[in-house]
Order: sequence, then C-alpha cells, then structure tokens
Amino acid sequence: MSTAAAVAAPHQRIFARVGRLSRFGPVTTAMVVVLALIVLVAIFAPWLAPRDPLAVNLADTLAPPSARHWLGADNSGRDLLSRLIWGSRTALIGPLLVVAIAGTAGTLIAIVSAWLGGAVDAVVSRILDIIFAFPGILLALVATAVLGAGLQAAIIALCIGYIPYIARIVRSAAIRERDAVYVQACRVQGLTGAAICLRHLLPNVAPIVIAQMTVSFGYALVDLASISYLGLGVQAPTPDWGAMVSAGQQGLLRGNPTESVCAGLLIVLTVVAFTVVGDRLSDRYEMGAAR
Amino acid sequence: MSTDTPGAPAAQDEPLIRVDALRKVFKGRHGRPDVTAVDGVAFTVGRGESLAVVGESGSGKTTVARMITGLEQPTSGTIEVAGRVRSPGRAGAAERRRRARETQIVFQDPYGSLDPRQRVRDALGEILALHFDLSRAARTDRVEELLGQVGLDARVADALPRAMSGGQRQRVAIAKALATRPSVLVLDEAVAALDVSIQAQVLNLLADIRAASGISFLFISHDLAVVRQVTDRAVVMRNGVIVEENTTADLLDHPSHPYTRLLRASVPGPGWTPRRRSAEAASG
Amino acid sequence: MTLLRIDHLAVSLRLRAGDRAILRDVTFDIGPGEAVGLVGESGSGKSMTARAIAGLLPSGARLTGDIVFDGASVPGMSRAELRAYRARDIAMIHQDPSAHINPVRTVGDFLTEALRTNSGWSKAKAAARATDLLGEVGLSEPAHRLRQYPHELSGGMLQRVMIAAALAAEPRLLLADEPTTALDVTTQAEIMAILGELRRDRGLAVLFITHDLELAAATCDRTAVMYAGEVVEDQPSTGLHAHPRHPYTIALLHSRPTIESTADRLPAPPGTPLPAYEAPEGCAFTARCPYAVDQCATDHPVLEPLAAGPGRVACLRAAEIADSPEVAQ
Repeated sequence: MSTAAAVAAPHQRIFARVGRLSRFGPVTTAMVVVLALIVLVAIFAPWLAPRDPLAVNLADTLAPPSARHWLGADNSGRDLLSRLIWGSRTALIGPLLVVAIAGTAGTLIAIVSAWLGGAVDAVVSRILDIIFAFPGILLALVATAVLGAGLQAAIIALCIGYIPYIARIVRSAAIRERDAVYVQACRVQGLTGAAICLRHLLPNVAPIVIAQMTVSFGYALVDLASISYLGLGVQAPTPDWGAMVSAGQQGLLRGNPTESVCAGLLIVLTVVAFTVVGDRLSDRYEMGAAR
Repeated sequence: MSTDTPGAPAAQDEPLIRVDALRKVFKGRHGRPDVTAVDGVAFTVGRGESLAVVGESGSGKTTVARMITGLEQPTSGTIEVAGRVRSPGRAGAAERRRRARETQIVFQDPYGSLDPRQRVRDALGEILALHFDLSRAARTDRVEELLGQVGLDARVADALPRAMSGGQRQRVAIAKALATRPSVLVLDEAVAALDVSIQAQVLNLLADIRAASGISFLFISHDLAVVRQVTDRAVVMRNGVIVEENTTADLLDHPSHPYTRLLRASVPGPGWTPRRRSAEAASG
Repeated sequence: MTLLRIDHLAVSLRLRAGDRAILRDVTFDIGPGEAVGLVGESGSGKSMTARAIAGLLPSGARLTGDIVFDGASVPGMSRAELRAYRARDIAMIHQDPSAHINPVRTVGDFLTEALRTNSGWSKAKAAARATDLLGEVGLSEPAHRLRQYPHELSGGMLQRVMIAAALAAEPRLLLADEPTTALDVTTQAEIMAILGELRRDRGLAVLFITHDLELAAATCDRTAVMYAGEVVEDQPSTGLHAHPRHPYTIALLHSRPTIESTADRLPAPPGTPLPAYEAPEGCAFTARCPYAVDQCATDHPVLEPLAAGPGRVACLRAAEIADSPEVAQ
C-alpha cells in the first residue's frame, strides 16, 4: 500500500488529497477553499488589483460603485477594491509573523518544560499562566505606547502574548507523549533527552501545534485589525482591513457603508475560516490520540 | 575491563546480574504516605539463565524491572551487572549508552511500545546509529537480520506501527531491544496482552532467541503457565518482598509459601473449583 | 427448554467504504440457569455477540438471523420492550468496571439508582437492599462501602460492586464480558467463586465471554468457540477440554502453555487471527489449519451435531479428526 502511494503520479496524489478533504464535510471544505483564495489574492495582489491602492483622486471622494471603481472609492477617492485586495497582504503577514514566532517559541518551551518536569516545569507553567492573564491586545497597546505606533510594536507584543496559547496545549500533549511506553523504551536504549524530544516528541505533537497555530492565526488577525482600527497599528496610507473599518466610519455617517462593511466582512470571513479549519485539525488530533 | 570480556574464564561462574538489598520508596504526594514498592530484594541472574519474577499488581515486580533498566533510581541497595556496580544517581549520556548494551526491556503493551510516526526501519536504524559505527549498507543488513531474528519479513521494515498487528508490533519491540546486543533482556509482562495463538508464537520465538544468542532473561509475569514455559528459576514477590525462590519446576510443583500455594491454586484448569476467601481477606 | 436462542446471527456495520461483517454466523443457546462460555481471540466477535443480545448494537448495524429471549425476538422489540427487557431480564458486567461507573457519585448512589427508578423503592429500602447485595458479593463493611467513591476501591472490589448492581434487578441472564481479565489471578478466582455461588443460589444463566479457554472450561457448563465471527464449536466444557473437535479449538488448547510441564515447543498455529470481514469463502481457519485440505478453501462448513455425544462442530474433517487426531501428519 505504501509503495503504491510512493509511485503514484503527482496529480494522482493531489486528487487523493482533495478526496480526503471532501471527507471533512462541506463547511470545513468550504473554509479551506476560502483560505486558499485569500492567500492567493494576497500573493497575486499586484496583478489582481485594478488600480493603485494609494492613488488619491479627490474628485472620486466617496464615489459609489461604478465601472471605474467596482466597489466605489474611499474619502480620499482611492479605489476600494484595490485597497481591499492589497489589504489582504497586511492582514495576513502580521498574524503569520505572530503565529510563526509564538508557535516556534511556545512549542520549544512546552516540550522542554514537559520533558524536564519538576521545578522547571512548575516555574515555566506559572510564568505562562501570568502571561496568559494579560490579553494579547492589552500587551500590544502597552507596547505601542512604549515603542510608538506601528505594526512592529504590536507584533512583538502579540508574539509574547500568544506563547501561552500554544505552549499550554502543546505541553499537555508533550506530557502525554513523554509518558508513553515507547519513550521509556527510547530512554532504555540510551537516547539523550534532546534526541527523544527532537525525534519523537516533536513529530508526535506537531499536528496539535499546527492546529493551534491555525486557530491562533484567526485571533491574531482580529487583534492586529483592532489595533489598526484604533490607529495604533498599520499607519495610513498603507491599506489594511482594520484601518479601513475605522476610516470607513466617515462614509458610514454619510450613508456609504461599503468600506467598513467590506473590510469588516473580510475580517470575519478570514477569522471564521481559520477557526473552523483549526478546530477540525485539533479534533482529528484528539481522535488520533484516543485511538 | 577484563571482567566483562565475553568468555573470560572468571566470568563464567559469576552471575550476570546481582541485586542486593534493593529498596524503592515512592514519596507520597499531596499528603499521602510514602509507599515502599520494593523492600530488600536480592537475587542473581546467571549468564544465559532465565529468571522469573512472579507477582500480582502491587507486588513491586515491575519496579524491580524499571530499576534494573535505569528507568527508576533505587532508594538504596545495589545493582551489579557484568561485574560492575551501577553507581547511584543519574547516569551521563555515555554511561546510559553503555548500560543500554547490557540491559534492554520489552513492555506489555504492543500498541504503545512503538513511536506511531516512525517506520520500523527508522526505529531500528536510530538505535543502531547510536550504538554502532555502521555503513549505510551494513545498517540495512543489520535491520533485516534483526527482523529475521524475530521472525518478521524484511518488507515490514517500511511499515508504520498502525499497519501492524499486535503480535507484529511486539516482535518489532523485541527486535528493537535486541538491536543493542544486550546480555540481559527484561520482559515486563511482554506476552500478557497477546492472543493465545500469538502468545505461543512469541514464546517459541523467545526460546529460539535465547538458544541462539545465550542471552539472559529477567521475565516479569503474573502468568504461572507462561513462567513454566520460559524460565529456569523463579522468585515470587508480594508487597515488595520476595517470599519464595526456587527452580521454576520445583516452585510450581511443590510450592512451600502459603502465598505461592494460593497463586498456584488460582490457576484455572480441569476440575478447578474457585473458592471464596473470607470477606476480610478479600477486601484487603 | 432454552432461555436464549441465537440463530444464525450475522451483523455488519455500514461504513463509508461499504458494509463490514462483524459477525457471520453465530448459533448457540443458553438454558435457564446454565453457564455458557464464549471463547475467542481478539476480533472473533464475542463482545459484539453480547452487545447484540443486549440490543446494544451501534447505530447503522445490520442484523440478520434471530436472537430469541424467552420466546421474544430481541431485534423485533420496540423501544419500550427493549427498555423493560434490559431493566428486568438481562444484566451486563464488563472488563473495566471503572469505565461503567460515574466517578463523582458514591457506590451507594450507583447501586440504588436503578432500584429507585425501576422499582420505585424508597431511599431507605433501596439502601438496605444495596447493603445486602454488597454482603452477598463478599465486600466487607457493606454499609461503609455505600458512602465510598469508585476511586477508593480496588479493581476487584469495584467488579464486585458491578456484580451487585447487575444482580439488583434479579435478572435471568447475566452477560459477563471478560469480567476478570483486568484482575489479578487470586482476585479472578474470588470473582469466579462468587459468580458460581450466585448462579447456583439464584438459578441465574450466565454468558461468560473470555479469551481464556481453560477458565471457561473450568467454570462453565458448556463452551462455544468463536473464530472470525462464527461459532465453530459448541460442546459441554468437559468434552471440549478432553476431546476438542475443531482444529481451531485444538490449536487454542495446545498452544497455551500449562503449569504442569514445560513443552519443548508450543504447537502454535501460524499466522494471526482473522477478523470476520477478511474471512474467505470457505472455512476461515483454512490458512492456519494443519488438517486443511483443498475443499476447506471453497466449502463453507456449517455447525453439525457431533457423531458421538452432545455438541456441534463446523469442520469438514471433524469425523476424521475425531477418529484419529494425528491425521495432520
């Protein structure tokens, strides 16, 4: 069976993947498609956007949808569709950094803490609990107050704030693996702790790390969008969904809600998609662990 | 150095394992009292000998196995393997590797004994790479040799544990334990979870391995029939203490300690009539 | 006269990949007050048989054949009838008692709940009855036990509590699914002694499911052996132990080491037990059977009465094997 899979042509393997995907049910499958589309839009933004997202044209201020501006223009006359398309880049890059950094650090901390156990584990767990007590957004606001407004300060703060979200779950998974019989066999075979952690614990907790990172991605996106909405994150004129929800308020008051609504819906859709897919991944991990 | 040279004349009569006054106390947590799991246990295992440690749950037999394989530190007492007394405290990496080439263990649960994400070839290769300086080709040969030794087809090398039956997994676990060429194999209820027909196959396999390699067994078990089949000598443990020691045949044919007699009488067979003990003894 | 009759029972589960057979052909019966052992290796379908008898098949399971309890067809029962049947006629005990008892409620709550809901008894009356039951299953200080929580009891004590709970409704049939497998041998002997006494005192019929042929043979009146979802042999226990007729039963008996002597080599059948859904057209044991002839691979044997004595066996060569068990060579 395994040899058959190894010699299958690449396109056959892709079909097999899609086939497996359909077993997830329609909602999850739809959300995977949504995520794929958003990522593709972010990657190909320069080619997809009809106009320059930064080009100001005061004549088009708050223009309604037209052939020239498919979704209309904002209060500086910039093309909304182009700004939404470019905005997907800032929307994704921030959470990506947060999740990558917090995920790596959190996993490392969790595995080392679980493996060493005892006093180290107790101290690490208490520190994680303390960080956990502060909402990530609060840390981010403090950081922007100290380091000045901008995406950089917010991302650094969220990286720290998100470590407990990853580490706490990975730690309990790592403890379960640490106590598994095969790990004891590894110890009797003379493997060092580092080798066991790297070659056995890490691959076995990887699925839960990925699931947790996926869910956290959605949360980080909301946090960063909120910070931008408050004017402390992405600075004008860079297009960003959170900042657009805020900027669109002027249009909202004048009866043109397109900017706020579109940017808001995109945020919701992306977050829901990440959460659904992440939950599904961790369900699958739990089922695998229960087997 | 000379003491563990294989075939050295002096080593022939010396026991391979000598355990003396072995004691293990588990600290009580959350205000519970300390538990003495093993209390003054002493025995020896000769080269090529198979010794059974018989007992029920709570007898301390598994704790003895774990101390001998370094998974637990004795509270006091000595463990001497191949003429070398194991120093107390945590061993360094080199010392742990050396001990890994003396004692290995096979556990009860065939489903938990293997890393679910590691193919058999990689599981064996990882151990071989750690202990022996082998070329790639030599390592592949040795993997196939080990699989052959436990009666598995070389094709199994590319399988993941989930594709294997319980019996196959247990054979792989035995192959992993044999990979370091240990002089003692500790078998902790290693056939207890297997189906009857598979258990018989594995018991035959263990006999073959011992005959071919002269390896010693420390066979931890509650199953007297299995003990009769694969061991030469047996100690019976109860509440952390050895209550009786004899050759396996004599121990089972003429049990002298009341507890050994109770164990013997609890084995079902033709004409067996289980009897109820007093309510007091039963709840104890 | 029979209490329970199982007639060509077959069960398959509907999976995405298609139907998967779990039981293929199970036929045996239990008389009132009779103890029948059901023996088989993992995947033979013995636990699923018990679930089918209790009307507890997983949803989506397809059942053919019949299970008749005291004249009533279990698969044909309405929900209300099934509830009454489970509450009054049968009871079940399991391998892992701790999985079948609520850990945050006391032993007393557990024991009195069914009495109070099913029989409408007062709290005091139910508690008194529970105390009596615990005494019957050999627990010391029964009144004190009622106030304890499951984690305060050992595995053997908890299994006694489960037996007490099973007996509370005075069932006529007890389904015991590997009730002693997780216990120590001395505790196993205790539990078997208690089950034996209760059975004799109350005229309780027992279906004793186990992987241990020796244990079944020693404690049951009759023993049925299952392989790959089928009953392949069914004999009085003494006969089965002394003169096994099916090659699989012979293999089971001989491959188990004995406490009396050391075998030079255990005559283990090659290969691994076959799950029902992988069973071939002919006899499922063919590939592992030393007696197999070409016909075995194609002709499906059915249970037929033994030539001599009570009992039935499903093997094409049963008569030859009975005449001379050495035909394998």
